Amino acid sequence: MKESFTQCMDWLHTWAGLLFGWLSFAIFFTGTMTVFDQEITYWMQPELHHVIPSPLNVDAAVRSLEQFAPQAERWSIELPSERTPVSTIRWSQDGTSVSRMINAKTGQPITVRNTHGGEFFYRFHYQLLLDQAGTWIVGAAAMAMLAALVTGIVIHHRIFKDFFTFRPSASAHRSWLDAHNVTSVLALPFHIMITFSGLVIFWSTYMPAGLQVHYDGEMDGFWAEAESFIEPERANQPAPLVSLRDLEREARPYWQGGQTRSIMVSHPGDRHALVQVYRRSNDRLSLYNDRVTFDGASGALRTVWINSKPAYMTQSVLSGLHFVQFGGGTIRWLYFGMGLAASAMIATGLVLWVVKRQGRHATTDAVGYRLVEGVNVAAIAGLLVATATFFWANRLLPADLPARELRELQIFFTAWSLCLGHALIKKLFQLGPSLRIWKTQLSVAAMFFILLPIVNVITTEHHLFMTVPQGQWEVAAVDLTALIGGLGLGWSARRLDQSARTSSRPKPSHLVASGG
Amino acid sequence: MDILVFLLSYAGLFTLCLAMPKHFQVMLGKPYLPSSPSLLILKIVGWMILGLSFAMAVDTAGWSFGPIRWVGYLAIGGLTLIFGLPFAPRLILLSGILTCCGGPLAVLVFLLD
Repeated sequence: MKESFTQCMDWLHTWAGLLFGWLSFAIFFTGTMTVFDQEITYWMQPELHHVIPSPLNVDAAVRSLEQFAPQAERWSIELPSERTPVSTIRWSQDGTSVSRMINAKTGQPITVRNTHGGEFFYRFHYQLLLDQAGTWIVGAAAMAMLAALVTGIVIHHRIFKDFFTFRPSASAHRSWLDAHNVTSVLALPFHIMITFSGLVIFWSTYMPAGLQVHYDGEMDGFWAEAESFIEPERANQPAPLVSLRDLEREARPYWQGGQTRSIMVSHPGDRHALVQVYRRSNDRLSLYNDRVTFDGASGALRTVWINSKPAYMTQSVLSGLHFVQFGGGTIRWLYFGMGLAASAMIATGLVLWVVKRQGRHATTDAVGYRLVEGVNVAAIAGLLVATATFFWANRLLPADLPARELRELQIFFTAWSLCLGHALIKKLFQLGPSLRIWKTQLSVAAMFFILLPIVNVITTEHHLFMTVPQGQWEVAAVDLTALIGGLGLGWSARRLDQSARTSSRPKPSHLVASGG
Repeated sequence: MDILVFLLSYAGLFTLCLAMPKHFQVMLGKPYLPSSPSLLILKIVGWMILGLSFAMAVDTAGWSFGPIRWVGYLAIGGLTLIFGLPFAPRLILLSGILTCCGGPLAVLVFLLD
């Protein structure tokens, strides 16, 4: 059968969208959470909430490192920022790496509960916790997403005629299509930018051929050349380390008004010690690691690395656009909003696949169709339930539980699996209409999110009744977002319930006529 | 002046929405249809307000951050408008008229300041 161009595009949009839609929703939703990764991590470590922010006392941090790890091969000190009020020190010794949070002013270590916090969403977002294999799967999903975006523009040719149109009381197909178009079109520049830049970040993984040929498979050689890394050999002669505070101060003028992000020391205490001071990228698009390197024993300036060639600059600006370390809270909230719009676009698209096939009885009885219906619920509502339980687990698990951070993840994935099991059993054994399953899982997610601030009241001292009067908005924002999100989900569940009741009654004739 | 960028993007989208016959009727709630020249004028004014909001975004946040913020505010403003329209058309009409009048006035005040 000869098909028209639009039909081909429609086919690609439908199937690329369906097969990768579940995965893409998870990637986009966790990516949206990652926008506030540091804020989530901070919220998940209530032990830090009473720490008063202060600039880093570099000498105190060095004293802590000397005390914890005098023999380490590498030290690093992360400076506090407006997003994280404490400083993190790390050291690596004999192949293991340890990190501790310290009070930026006194250098005293702070004991916090073990949690992956926002880092979990970040790891899941770009590699599904599967390392290199995950990066490839996410890359494939991103390619499918780009294809779906382009084909979507072709097939939804009415988007300009129907601009500003959302008809919630029209037929199910019509109103879901409207919602799908609106969430796609309005944030289309964002959707395309975020998908494309996500692929560009991993250019050397996804398109390694050029580098492989040019550097004979020696990728390390490329990185050494591109970023002029120096890896000094240990001299095995002790030499005192010069003051890191002075070196940091000396590096600052190179940032042209920027701030220092971190200080790294290779072979501290050795005659070949090397000190690298990095710039923070919070005041510009480019996510480029400006770096000034000093000799650790003499304090002499070794290299200044603050400019890049155009190709590398392009890549770092595109990564910067994706990682959104710039522009402060305003831009992060805008990204959060558009990320939610993107997630809603995928979710409505998945629902549309089902709704479009409703009423064709031969299909609705098929196992494949019911499978899609079930997985849809678990992939969307189930992920929301799992996310909420992850936040609950953080507050309810004892702070000193061994392997605590793994338990949090186990609870997240258990909750998600239970949702999948619930939806599949209901669907495959035909124990109820899809709307009921949607309603159940959305209500559970809504309840978990709405109750999260209350769990916080019971388990910590930094809850809404304290954080709002004291203006501790970094903490309060997480509770408030959970509350508002929960109310929104509850409202959706209620509306689904209403439409389930009306659809079980015979439809008014004008709705049937306009139904597609 | 981020709030101004947001209000102007909202006002611009609202005017463009008003320039489409079916939305015009929904918002005013009667089968009255304006002449096509006046719809064209609405369309031109809408694009001008959107242009103004872009200029404000670039003016307040610079060329690197301004356009990104503008796209963000445009998306949020548009989603508010579209999802609000079927539920509260009168409220959208009122807020649209207010931002259309207030937004450019605020820009004038901002420029004179």
